[in-house]
Order: sequence, then C-alpha cells, then structure tokens
Amino acid sequence: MFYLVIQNLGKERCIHMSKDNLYKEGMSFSCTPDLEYVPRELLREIEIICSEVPGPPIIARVYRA
Amino acid sequence: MRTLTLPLAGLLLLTFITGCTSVKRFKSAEYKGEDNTLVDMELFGASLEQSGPDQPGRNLWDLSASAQTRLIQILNERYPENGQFTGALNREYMLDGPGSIVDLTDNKLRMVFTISRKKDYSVIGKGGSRFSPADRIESLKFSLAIPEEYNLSFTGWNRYLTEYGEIEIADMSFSRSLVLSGDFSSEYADAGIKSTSGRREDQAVRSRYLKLNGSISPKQILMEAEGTREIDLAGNVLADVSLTFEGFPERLTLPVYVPGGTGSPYNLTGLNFVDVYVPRLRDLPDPLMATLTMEYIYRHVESGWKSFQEWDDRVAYYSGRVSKQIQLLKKEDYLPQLYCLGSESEGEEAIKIRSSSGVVYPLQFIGYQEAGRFLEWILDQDPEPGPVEQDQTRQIGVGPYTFMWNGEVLTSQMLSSLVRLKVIPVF
Repeated sequence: MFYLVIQNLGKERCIHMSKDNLYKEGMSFSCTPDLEYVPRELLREIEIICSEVPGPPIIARVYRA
Repeated sequence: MRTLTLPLAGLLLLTFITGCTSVKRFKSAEYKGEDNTLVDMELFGASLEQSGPDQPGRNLWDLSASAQTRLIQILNERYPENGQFTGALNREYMLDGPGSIVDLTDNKLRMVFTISRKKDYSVIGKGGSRFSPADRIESLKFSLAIPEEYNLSFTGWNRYLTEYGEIEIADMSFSRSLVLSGDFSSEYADAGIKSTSGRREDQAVRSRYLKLNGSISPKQILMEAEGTREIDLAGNVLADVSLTFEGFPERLTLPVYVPGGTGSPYNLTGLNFVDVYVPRLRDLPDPLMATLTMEYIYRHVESGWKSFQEWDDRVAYYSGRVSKQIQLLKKEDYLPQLYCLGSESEGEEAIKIRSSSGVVYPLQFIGYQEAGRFLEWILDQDPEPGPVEQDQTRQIGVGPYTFMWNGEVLTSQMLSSLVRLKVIPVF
C-alpha cells in the first residue's frame, strides 16, 4: 500500500492511499482527509495541488507500507 | 549726529531680529560622520489578534425583528415546556452552506517599538563627547521585513501612533503631518522676538512638527518620521498592521443539537461541515523572526544646549544604522484555536469521523466550548454499568457518519476504556 502524506503546522496527515504507486508531480488531491496509515519507507517527495485552496503547490511525501 | 543714530538703531534692530529669532534651526551645523551606537531600537511588544470567522451558525438573534417575532411564536408552539423553549431560542441553524469557507489566516498585528537614545551624562561638557541634554533624533527611518519562507504577508496599515499624535490609516501607504494643538503652540510663542514677518514664518514651521511616511509591501513595512525643532523621535511608536498567511484547508465539524428528553440536556441530530483556511506553514516555527532595520540622523548639540531654544545651537549631525533579528510572534500567537477529542494516555490519537463514502476526516471544532459540548454528548453514549451486551458493541455515529478511534469504529465498549478522553488542541 502507498500513502500520500502532507504536513502543515508541524502535523502530518495522510490524505490518500492506493494499492499502486500512482502519485506524480502536480496531481490534485483533497487535503482535508485524515486517513490511518503506517509509514514504513519514504519513497520520495512530490509537489501536489490542494483542490480546496488556490495557490502554489505543497510538498507531499509518498510512503510505502 | 541724529541723522546717523536712527539708521544705526534700525540696523541694530534688524540684526537682532534676524540673528536671534525662533525661526532659525541652529547657529551652525556640521555633519560629523557615522556612529551606530547613539540610538537603539527594540520591538517592545507584539500582539496578534486573529480576525476569526463569523459565527459559522446563525441563531435567533441574527434575524430581523419581524423574523424573530415569528420564530419565537413557532418555537413557543412547538416547545411549550420552559427548558426546551429556552434551549430552542439559543439553537444554531441556518448555516451558510456546506461549501462556505472560513478564513483563519487574516490577522491584526499590533507592534510597539521602543526607540531610545544612549544617554551618558558623565561626558557632558567634555571635549569630543557626543551627548548633551539637548540632543535629539531628528530623522528616523525603520523597516520590518519578514522572511520569504513564512508564507506571511503584510496587507495593510491600520493605525500608526507616536507620542505626538495618532494616524488612522486604511491603505497601503500614508504620508501625513501632525500639527500642533492649541496647547502646544503656546510653548513656542515665547521662543523669540515676535516681529510680524517672523511670526508668520514661525507659524508656518510650527504647523508641521512631525512628518510621517509609511509604506507597506507584502514582505516589508517601512516607516519614516522627521521631527522639526525640539521634537525628539525617541520614545514608543505603535503600529497596527494587517497581515495574512497563505491558506491551508481544514474541515471543521458543526454539530446540530436539539433539546433532549429526560436525563439528557440535548441530543445530537446531525453534523454539518465547514472548510476553513488555517496558516500554511509546513513546520511550526517558534518564534517567527523578522529583521528590524533602522537608519537615523542624530542631532548632537555641541554648544548652546543650556537654553531650550535651538536657534543658538552649534549642531553636529551623525548618521547611524541598526539592524537586528527580532522575535515577532510565538507559535501560540498564530496557531488557530481548533480543538479535537483525544486521549493523552493514547499518544496523540484523536476521534475521527468517517463518511458514508468511507473517507475519514479529523473531528475538529472551532473553539474549546464547542468541542467541550461535543465531548459531553459523546461521553453520554457510554452505557451505564451492566447493560446488555448488544449495547456495549453499539457503534457510535450520527446519520451517515461513524466515529473512528485508532482505525476502528468507535463503540460504546471502547468509549468505556478511554479513561482520559478530553478536549485537546489540534496543533
């Protein structure tokens, strides 16, 4: 399982999970979910767009369980 | 002889008037160079006030008078019992809609700067000393710059206050002169010989005794002050500005309650949600630092400082510059007041909420009171000792929403084991 995790005000939150490693630069996600996740291996950091807010992209981390 | 006396007396009088008048700024002046030690500046205090959201819900008192009357009649018919009727009056309803956004990123910042001159009375009168009791800061220019990485921007001036006056501003820049009040002008009336021409010029000078300029850009505010005679710019300066963070979305829960039956003050009938923007800062910098820079012109009186008037001063001007990193805000100042229900004994785990589509969101409230009210309700779902087994495993939820704990659906039984469930801040 792959997890997409963002961080704001020092607090991490998993906003999306997928069986496949589909996360790429510039993709758009809702940033409000707070899913359960178990980060085991950090794969990479990518820039994503929060669909709820205009503005520059934010950094997200892709973890593998 | 008499023909010479009159012109001579007139010449003497003219010399006296032009040489000894309050219109003069100094007897002589010379620029002596740079000295960065004569003046210092500190941010004495800074306080942040979040603009905050409008109350997300609406209640009876937000309605017009005629609508209030009508609604009270309806509630009176529907809830004839006193307790229920009173509860219904204070109930929130008529939300703005699920799509509305509340902005918690706008802030009003009040800063108090202290500008002080170095005062060393032990060197008064000594050759080469750079201090006299008549010295003053004549011109001042200072800026406050925020680093780029904070995602924080100045958006406008609100107020600028010095000990000489106050300016209300609602713009990106300002340029104003503060004029003397009637009380102040009397102080200057005895400053020299009052010839007709001298008084006119004297009044023209007096009408502007402090000139203030200010400008603001997203990452910097700039203030400039220039005092005319006898106005020392040392002292406290208060600046109110608006600033805003870039936004990051959070979802807040707005519970909908109705008056309860016996044993329960109210029942939860539904949940609404509202999206808010909170400051977008990946980490939690504490404190937020800023760069304070000041340039000044220092008017040192080398001689003539025994009198209050400045026209007899021999003046030496020094320029100086001070730049330092200052603590602008602590994290407690800018963190939004969002609360959730969690247990300190369970790490940072908190109750979450799962929608019918299976997406899990944080269960968070704006304000301690709202979270406390929800905690009261959820603890009320804890069954009394000795209930039937079915009740112990009852899933706790409202409508299509289910509450989650540690990745599992929250049940009455789990609730019993959460001994230290309490309201905790989200950040």
